[in-house]
Amino acid sequence: MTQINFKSHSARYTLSILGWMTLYVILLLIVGFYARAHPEPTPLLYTLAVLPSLPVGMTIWCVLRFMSKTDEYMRAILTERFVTATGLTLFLCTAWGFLINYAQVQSPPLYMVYPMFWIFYGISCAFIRSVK
Amino acid sequence: MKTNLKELRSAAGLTQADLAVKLGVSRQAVIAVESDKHDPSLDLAYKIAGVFDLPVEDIFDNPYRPKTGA
Repeated sequence: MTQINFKSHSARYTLSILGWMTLYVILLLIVGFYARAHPEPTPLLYTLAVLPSLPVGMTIWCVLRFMSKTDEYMRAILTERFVTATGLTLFLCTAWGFLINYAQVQSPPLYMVYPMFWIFYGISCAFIRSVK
Repeated sequence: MKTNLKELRSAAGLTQADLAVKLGVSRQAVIAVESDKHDPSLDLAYKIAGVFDLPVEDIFDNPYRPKTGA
């Protein structure tokens, strides 16, 4: 039976991501309930509304930390995937911005940018399998 | 970068996982170096040379060095 080394960088990375994403879901639920019950804009609502973005920031920090801890080959692959996904996200968001500006296309919620980034990251994983 | 790492590793009776542990890198990194999909850093090249107790250029072909006797 394969033993899982919970002290390995990849295990720590996976557990950290799971932890922060769990907190993200919990915060989303709490803020959602609160915002529906108290829709009037107050400093508390502004504060709570920002809270779910903090775990998102922490997941990015987890990725960057994992990159710094892993070996040079894995770091090169992860960096290329990360940069590719970032570039594609920036490109699509810019294109959508022009569509909104010039063609009156509907604006998607900005919080969708983060999942969009991970979709592009997943796609880049399929194509970026090695780096010189 | 052309390398005879795979032959050296086999001759030393090491698996890719064994070599990865000795070098402190992932097995994927060893596979990538062996299959010329990754050019190792100078640090990693020296580590590999250290494991086999050989000069770096006995393991990796230096494409910039003029060939002697040509």
